Amino acid sequence: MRPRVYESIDDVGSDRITELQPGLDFSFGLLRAMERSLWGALVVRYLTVENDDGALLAFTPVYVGSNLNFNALLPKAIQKGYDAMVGGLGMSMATRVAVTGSLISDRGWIPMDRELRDRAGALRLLLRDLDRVAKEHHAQLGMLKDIHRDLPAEDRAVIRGAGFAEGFSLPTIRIDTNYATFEEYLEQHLTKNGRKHARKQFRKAEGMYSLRVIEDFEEMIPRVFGLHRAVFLRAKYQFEELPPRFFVECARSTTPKTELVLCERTDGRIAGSLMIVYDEREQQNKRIGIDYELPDSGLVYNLLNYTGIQRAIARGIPSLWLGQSSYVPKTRMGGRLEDQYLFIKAYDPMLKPTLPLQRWWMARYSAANVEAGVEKGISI
Amino acid sequence: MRRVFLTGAATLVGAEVLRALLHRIEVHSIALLMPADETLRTQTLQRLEAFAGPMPLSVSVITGDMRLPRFGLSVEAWKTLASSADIGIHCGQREVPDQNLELARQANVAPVENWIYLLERNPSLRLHHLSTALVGGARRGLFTEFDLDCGQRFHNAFEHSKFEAETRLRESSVTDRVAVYRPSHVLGCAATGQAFDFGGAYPLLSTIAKAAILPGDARARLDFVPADYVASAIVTLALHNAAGTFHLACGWETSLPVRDAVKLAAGGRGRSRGARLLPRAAAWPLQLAGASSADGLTSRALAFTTARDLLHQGPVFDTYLADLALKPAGITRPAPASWLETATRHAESCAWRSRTPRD
Repeated sequence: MRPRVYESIDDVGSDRITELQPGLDFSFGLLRAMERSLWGALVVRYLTVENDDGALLAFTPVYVGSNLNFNALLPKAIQKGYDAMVGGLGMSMATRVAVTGSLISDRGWIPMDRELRDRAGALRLLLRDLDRVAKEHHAQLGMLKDIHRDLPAEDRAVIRGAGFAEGFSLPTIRIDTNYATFEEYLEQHLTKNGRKHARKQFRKAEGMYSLRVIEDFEEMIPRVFGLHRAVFLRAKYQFEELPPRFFVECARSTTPKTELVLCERTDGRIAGSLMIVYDEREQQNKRIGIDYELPDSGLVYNLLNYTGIQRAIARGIPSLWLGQSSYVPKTRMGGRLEDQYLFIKAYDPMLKPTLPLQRWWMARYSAANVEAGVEKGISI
Repeated sequence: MRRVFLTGAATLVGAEVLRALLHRIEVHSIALLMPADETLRTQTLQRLEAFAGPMPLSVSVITGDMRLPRFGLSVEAWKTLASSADIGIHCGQREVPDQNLELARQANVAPVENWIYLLERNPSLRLHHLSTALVGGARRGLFTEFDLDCGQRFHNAFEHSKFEAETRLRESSVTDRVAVYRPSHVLGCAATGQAFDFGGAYPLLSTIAKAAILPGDARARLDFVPADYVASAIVTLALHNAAGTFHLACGWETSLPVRDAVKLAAGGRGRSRGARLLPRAAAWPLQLAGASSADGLTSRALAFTTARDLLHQGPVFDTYLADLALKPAGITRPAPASWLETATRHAESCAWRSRTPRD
C-alpha cells in the first residue's frame, strides 16, 4: 500500500474510481464537475492509497482555501464576527481550511476497496497525506465533511485517533424507493396524511403546471440557473456556492448520469427545476431551483420532489437521497433522517481551544434532535 | 440595417461604443443624445471627432437631457424618437463614488424610466444598458449574472443607484427586451491605453499609482477590463439582439492581486515601488489627510474612500453568460497584467486629462 496525491481527477482516472464503487458523491463525473467549477483561491488535491499494481484501495478529495464557508453551522454571531474581522483586517485573516470529502455531498464517505483488509492502515495513510497537504497549503483547520453513520465505527475511531474531534453534521435524508410503482410507494411508504398530501399536490397542479424531464439539459442552464441560485441565496446554511459551470459539467457527465426535471406553468414560464444524478444503485435529488416570484413555490417544490421519487421508482433504483435541508417536507414524503459526522482538527494552535465548543454546539444537529424539531414542524 | 440611439457617447465607454458602431456596416444610422447648450454640444462633438474620427452623415444629434422626463424632448420629438430606432444603447451615467444618492438617482435611475417608456412605445426597440459589476457592492463571495439582490451593502451612491436602475429594468414589462452589461473596473484601450475620458476606474488607478500609503488588502483581487473590450462586447451583442445580463469582467483567474496592481500602476508612473498597504481597520487615521491621486484627478477624501472600499476583497464575478455569448464572436478579454501598466503610462502622458478639448 502506498499513498499518492493527484492534482486532477483526470489523473486519477474514471475507471479506477468507478471500480471502487464510490457512491454518487464521489463519482468521477461529480468530482470532475466540482473541480472544473472551483472559483476563488480554492484548490483541490486527490489523496489516494494504491496497491503495487496501481489499483485504488482508497481515495478522497481535499479542498483547500479560504473561501469555504466553514463556519456555516456555527452561531450567526460567530459568522458575522468572522466576516467583520476579515473585512477589517483583510484576507490574511481569513481562515484557510482543508475540507476532505465531496463539497456537494449528500452522504459523506471515504471510498475504499470492499475487499481491503487493512482499512485502518489505508485510512491512516490518507489522513497523513491530508495533514501534509493541509500544511503545505497553510491550512489552519482540517475537516472531514459529513461522514455518514454507515462508515464503520472502527474507521471513525481511526479518524479520532488521528487527532480529529468528532461532532454532528446536518443529518442526511434517505427515502426507500424500492417499490414496483409510485402508487405502491404512496400506499405502503407514506402515512395517511402523507398520502393525502401527495395526491393533493398533483390534483392542485392539474391544468396549471406540467412536468417534463430533459436528459441533455446543457442548453437549459441559462434559463434555470437563476432559480437554483435563488434557492441557494435563501438557504439558511449556505455552504458551497456553485457557479453555472457546475451545472454545465453535470449535464455532460455520464458517470453518474444526470437529468433535469422542469416544472412549467401553462404559459411556458419555468416555475422550478430539479437536477437529478443517478446510477443503478442510488439517486440524488441534487439541486432544486424555484421561482419564488410565483405564489405556488411550495407546490412546485413538492411536485419536483415527488417527480424525483417517481423517476427513482420507475428506474428500479432502491435508494434516494434528498439532501440536508428542508426536513419537514422531506419527512412528510417518507424521508428518514440519518446521522452524519463532522471531524475537525486545528493546525493553528489559536483554534484548538475552540474545538470542544464547536463540538458542543453541533450536538444540535444529531438526527434525533432534528427529528424532535420536525415533529414540532420546525426544520432546523 | 440597424438604427441606433446612443446616450452617454461622451463617456469612457460611450465613446468606445460609438467608435465600434462607426465600424459596423450593418449600422444604418446613429442618433446621439447631446446637451441642449450649443457651446457645450459643439465642444463635445469636437472631442468625439478627435477620438473616433470624423462623423459620417449617418450620425445625427438629438438635443436633450437624459435626466428629464422624455429626455427633455417635446411630445412630438419623443414620438419621432420612439419610432426612429431599433437599438438603444444607454451609456450615460454618473460614476462619482460619493454618497450623494439624490444626484446619483437623477443621473442613473431617472433615464432608465425614460427608456422603459420608450420601449413601451416601440415594441421593436431593444435596450442595451450599461450598468456595473459593482452592483455586487460589498458582498464577499460569488456574484453571478443571475444575481442582483443578494442583500449586499453598497459602498457609495453610484453602486446603489445602478442597482436600483437594474432592479427597475428587471421589474418592468419590457425586461425581455433589455440587455444589461456589467463591466468591472473600466480603463482605456488595452493596446494603447487611450481613453476618451478619465472616468471609469481612472480615479482608482490614479490613486494606486500615486499614493505612498493606502488602506488596502494585498491579497484581495482587482478586476480591470479595457473599454474597447467592453464596447466591442456591447456592440456585438446589441447587433445580435441579446437580452439578459452579461458580466464584462476578467474573472478570478486573471484578476490581479492588489499588491500586483499597485506595483504595475506605480511602475506606469515611473516609481520603483508601489504604495504600502494598511488593513482597513488600521488605516482610519489616514482618513484625516485623505489619499493623493495622480495630478489631483480626484479629491483626497474620495481617493481615500475609493481605496478603502475597492482595495479589499469584494465579489468574485462569474462570466458564464458573457463567455457563452462572446466566444462565438471571437471576443476575448485581455488579462489586466498585460495592459495595466500601459493604461497608467498613457494616463501619465496626458497628465490624467483628456487631450481633446473639454468643457
